Amino acid sequence: MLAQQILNGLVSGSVYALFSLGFTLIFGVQKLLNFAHGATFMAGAFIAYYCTINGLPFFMAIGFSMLATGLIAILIDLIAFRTLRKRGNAEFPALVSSIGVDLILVSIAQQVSNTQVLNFPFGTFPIQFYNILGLRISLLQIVILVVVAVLVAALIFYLKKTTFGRQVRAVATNERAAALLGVNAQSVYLQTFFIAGALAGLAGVLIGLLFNSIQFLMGEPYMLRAFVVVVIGGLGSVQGAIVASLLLGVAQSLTVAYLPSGLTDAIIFGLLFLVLLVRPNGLFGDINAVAGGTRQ
Amino acid sequence: MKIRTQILAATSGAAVMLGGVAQAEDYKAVILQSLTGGAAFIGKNVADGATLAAEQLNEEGFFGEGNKLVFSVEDDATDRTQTLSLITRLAADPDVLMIMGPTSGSVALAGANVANEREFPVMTTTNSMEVLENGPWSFIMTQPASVTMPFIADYTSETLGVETCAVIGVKDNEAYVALQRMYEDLITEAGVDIVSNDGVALADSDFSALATKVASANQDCVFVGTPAAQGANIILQLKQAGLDPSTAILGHNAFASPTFIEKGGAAVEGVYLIGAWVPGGGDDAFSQEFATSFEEKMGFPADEWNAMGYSGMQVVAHAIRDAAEADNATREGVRDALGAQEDVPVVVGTHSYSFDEERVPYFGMKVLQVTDGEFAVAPE
Repeated sequence: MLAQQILNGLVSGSVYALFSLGFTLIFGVQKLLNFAHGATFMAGAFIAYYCTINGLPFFMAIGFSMLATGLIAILIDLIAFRTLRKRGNAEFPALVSSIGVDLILVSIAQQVSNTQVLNFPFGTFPIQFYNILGLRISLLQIVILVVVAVLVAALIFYLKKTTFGRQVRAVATNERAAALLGVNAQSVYLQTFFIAGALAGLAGVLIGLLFNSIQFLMGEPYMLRAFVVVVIGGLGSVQGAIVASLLLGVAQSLTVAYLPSGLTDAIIFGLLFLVLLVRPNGLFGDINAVAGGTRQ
Repeated sequence: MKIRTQILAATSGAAVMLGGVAQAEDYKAVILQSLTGGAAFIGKNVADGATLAAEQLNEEGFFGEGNKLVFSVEDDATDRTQTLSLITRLAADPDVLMIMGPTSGSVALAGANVANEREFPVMTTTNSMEVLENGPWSFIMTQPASVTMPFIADYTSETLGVETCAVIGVKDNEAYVALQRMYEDLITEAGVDIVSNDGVALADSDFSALATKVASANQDCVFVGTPAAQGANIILQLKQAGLDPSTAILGHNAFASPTFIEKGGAAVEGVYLIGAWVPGGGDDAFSQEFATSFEEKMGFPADEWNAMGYSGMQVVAHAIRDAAEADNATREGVRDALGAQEDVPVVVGTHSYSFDEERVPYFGMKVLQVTDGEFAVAPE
């Protein structure tokens, strides 16, 4: 059972990684905690669900959902963050503002779904199981692991090896200096929000599909875990978020398997405090590390 | 704070518009349920059922010619502060005779407390006996665990004859926890060994680790004490994790919802549950009429909570009418009439709703089984 639970944890953790990457990316670039990220994740699942039941092929529904949640994230930036950013010292007001956006999106989803739990129709994705080395793994789990690995690799390449990535790191390090060098910070913000929203939307679809459940409050537990991930991984660290997500997924599976499941959250947050005691800046700790840059 | 208010008027008042007819009476009540927040999956459904009942009762002239129930729907938002504020405000309106709500948990207890202070009748949706202990003005609408759970516990130990059982329950809703604890106590007394006991949160959907753990263990039965959609999802993941097909799966009355079969599909075939509501109405004409009219109005089939809301409003309406007929349509009169209700026709359980002398409701239960994608009465 141990190996099976580790596999379960890695699948869950890989989806946490998709979710947390966008969250940490926004924090890294803007130093803002976007509490509406969970609602964006939920919106991704809702949009793909309604596209699917209205006849759109599932893979097109995923693409549409990612596009839509990317745009929703841009809207969130424009409505909830941009004005506050211009005023400076935006951290706390932006946090409250993002909670407001979260509540609005959740309320809309509740009205749209009539408070019902939704699920993708049976057969949306082939249900096939394989026994590999004594492990029971579904086709969907394999696809999720591969898709997440490819997307994470693409994101890291994008941030490290492209002009856009250099601009992101420049803005994250020092927005004013970047602007003097001709970088359009507003454009960087919009692009990071779009990427974060699209990744959250995809994570929502995958979670909705994997666990057969889409509901208006589905983002809340993932937001809590995203906090754990970004703190354990190191605030703003992309690599840290990935490693911490996988660790969190595995830790969660193992605590459920071997300890009373009611203690899962207590144990996970206990681990968080332990990591903070040993490495206050997180596993990949550099207190100034922001999306690969160092904030000045 | 979000409040949604609907004021709905009766349509049967034409006669009272004419001169020479006795003055029509308006009886004012409020449906206060969790339309938002964590308990919305109960409260919203109860409110929908209660609203339909009130509309129908007004249409059929239940309160006498020209008289009507004037009601509004308010949202307790699963929030104590909002609930206390609303009850205090409503208590200050002398025309409001009673509240049907609040929904559940600490919200209902807090509501019961302030209602007793203000001497204002409330019928909370919860089954918590603590609501009754708060004082004579607070009632519970659903049967406490001590009434409902023996139906499924006896079926587990006596009819199915299981010896070991794994229990999965909700850890963050007091009503579900109470049901689960009662089940555990009853089957343990009957000699069944509980081999594992796990809790999930209402917002959880990832049960892969839990499913692997339970599927890897040996037990004769798995009891899943969660809301319908979540329970269907847990059972689906249990089956996907390779649970022995011969393992009996049982649940409580929350599973008696079309959602359970819709979400679980083939995975929930054979699951045992208790139901106050038989989806579709079973063989009772009143229940069948409710099922039809609810689906016509809402566009989806009624579930257990919709049926409870519909039934609860029948009880409230009978109490108000009895108080009015006794020429005592006051809060005290309605409270006394509510506690005295016996054999009110309802669409749940044995179709007859009564309060005993301790104000504990009784309307019975049935053990059901999912058979060929439908709920059927389980074999004895």
